[in-house]
Amino acid sequence: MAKQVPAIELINVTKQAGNHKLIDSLTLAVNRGEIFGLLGPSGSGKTTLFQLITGLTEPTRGQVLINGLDLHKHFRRAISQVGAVIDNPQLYPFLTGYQNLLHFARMTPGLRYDRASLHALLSRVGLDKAIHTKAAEYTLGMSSRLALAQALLHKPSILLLDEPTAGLDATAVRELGDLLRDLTDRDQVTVLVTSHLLAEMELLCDRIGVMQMGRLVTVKTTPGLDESELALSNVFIEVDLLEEAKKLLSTHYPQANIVDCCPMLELGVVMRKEIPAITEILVQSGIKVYGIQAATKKLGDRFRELKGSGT
Amino acid sequence: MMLNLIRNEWMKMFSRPRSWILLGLLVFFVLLQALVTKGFTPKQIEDTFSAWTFALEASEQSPLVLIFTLIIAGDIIASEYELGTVKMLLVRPFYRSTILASKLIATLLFGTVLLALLFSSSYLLGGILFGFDGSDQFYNRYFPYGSGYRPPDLTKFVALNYGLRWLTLVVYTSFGLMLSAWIRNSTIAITAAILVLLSGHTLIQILYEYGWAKYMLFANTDLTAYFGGIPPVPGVTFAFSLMMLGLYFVLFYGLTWVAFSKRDVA
Repeated sequence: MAKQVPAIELINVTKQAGNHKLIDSLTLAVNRGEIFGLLGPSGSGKTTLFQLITGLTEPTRGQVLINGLDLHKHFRRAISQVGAVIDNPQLYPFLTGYQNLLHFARMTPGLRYDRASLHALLSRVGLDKAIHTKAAEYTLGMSSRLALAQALLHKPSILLLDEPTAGLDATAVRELGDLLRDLTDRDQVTVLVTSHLLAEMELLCDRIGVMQMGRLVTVKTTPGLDESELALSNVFIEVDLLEEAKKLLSTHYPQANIVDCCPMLELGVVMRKEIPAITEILVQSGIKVYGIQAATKKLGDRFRELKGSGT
Repeated sequence: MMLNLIRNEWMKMFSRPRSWILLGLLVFFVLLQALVTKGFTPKQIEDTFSAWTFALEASEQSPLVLIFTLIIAGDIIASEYELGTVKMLLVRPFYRSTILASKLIATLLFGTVLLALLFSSSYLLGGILFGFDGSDQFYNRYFPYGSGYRPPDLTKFVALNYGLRWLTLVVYTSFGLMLSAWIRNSTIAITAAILVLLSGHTLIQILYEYGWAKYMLFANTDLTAYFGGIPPVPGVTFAFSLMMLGLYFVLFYGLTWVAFSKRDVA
């Protein structure tokens, strides 16, 4: 299997401030077209991690790769592929919505824009009545929509959102979810969001990484409703005895094969509810299971079905 | 693309009332000076006045231009940190040095506009009040002691005067930017910059006897002193002052760059 380059990859990244490790040897790969959530209490390092991925902060050790490009060696090329919304008051309050957007459009090399196209983008995020209103008079919801508009100006392949749900009501969160899902499904955009609210993250994300003390303590696929019925397109298992595991499982999964690169055992299409049984077989045979990963494309469709009546 | 960044800075500057107020204030002070000059000058002296002589007189108000430019310079980097917009600014395909350069150029442009406004408004007001024709008696009034320096003609002398003040403006602009980048608080940066500007003159009057005083910034900021005036520190030449201003500019801008591009943005 040809290994696809992850959209965002952090390799053994450490960020130190004095003797304090804000990020401690963290490794993470976010796949293309995935919505990945970073969850953690304040001080857990998720903001620092976010700053490392946007290039606002340089890692003390390790590498940050954007679509395979080293962010610090090829900053301009790498960051061109990224759209970001950082913190909440990140607009110029004394500029109008249109001027704010114009400001960031001018900072996007190669972007073809004119008054009409910027107006169109503003209407698309529902700000058509406030185009010439100063951003100071915007509500929090309007500001975040404007911020999102500027992040999407150049059709980035990676979208980074820092606390995008802060201050949004349930409807607005759902709308944001729709929009993000639309971007990932239609344009294969990769999204990374941070939050400290698990419930919202479960609604928005395919996978969630939980951070604590500068480390990524767990990465898990979000459970949806009836998730046991979901077919996971591809399941990878990380075990110590690959050959043995393959033999054990090949009766049920004839497609099972060893992926050399990782190394992992690839099982092919598996129903989510089968995973506990698979784990049991392996564990009972004395094989150590280090991880099970699944591509979660279908979860996105499920998400759409679930709230389809609302839109 | 640099041009786009400068246009952005320009847009941000002039979408706030502050910049317009500064421009208006400058014209107001020139008007005030014009009216006072008109009202308190004896008739026969007034006859020697013209648009050009008044433009020259008004150039004495260039410290006002420095202060107003420092207000913009002290704000232009710090306010991005205060608003949090600096993050949005840096997450773009530009080197931080390019973004910084656009801020320097935009601030310099603002200062240049102020200086141009000082000239044009004083020339116009002077012309309206004293007539637009030049006067030969200008030399007698400006260089009565035979100071050794004879200006080529009035128009060129005025141009030289404003040009020299512009050079000083460039150095002060870099100074304001440096404070803005390091302090990251526009109010404190502006206040500090103006205090330094205002105390500098006094400082030099206290310290001019020391040999090292000539290396201080303030000993070299009044370049017009070399053209018919008295240099603040004895023994300092025009070329020396130019060189010192150049060095200070490099120092200030270099330190601005260090603060703006080397520090992590959190």
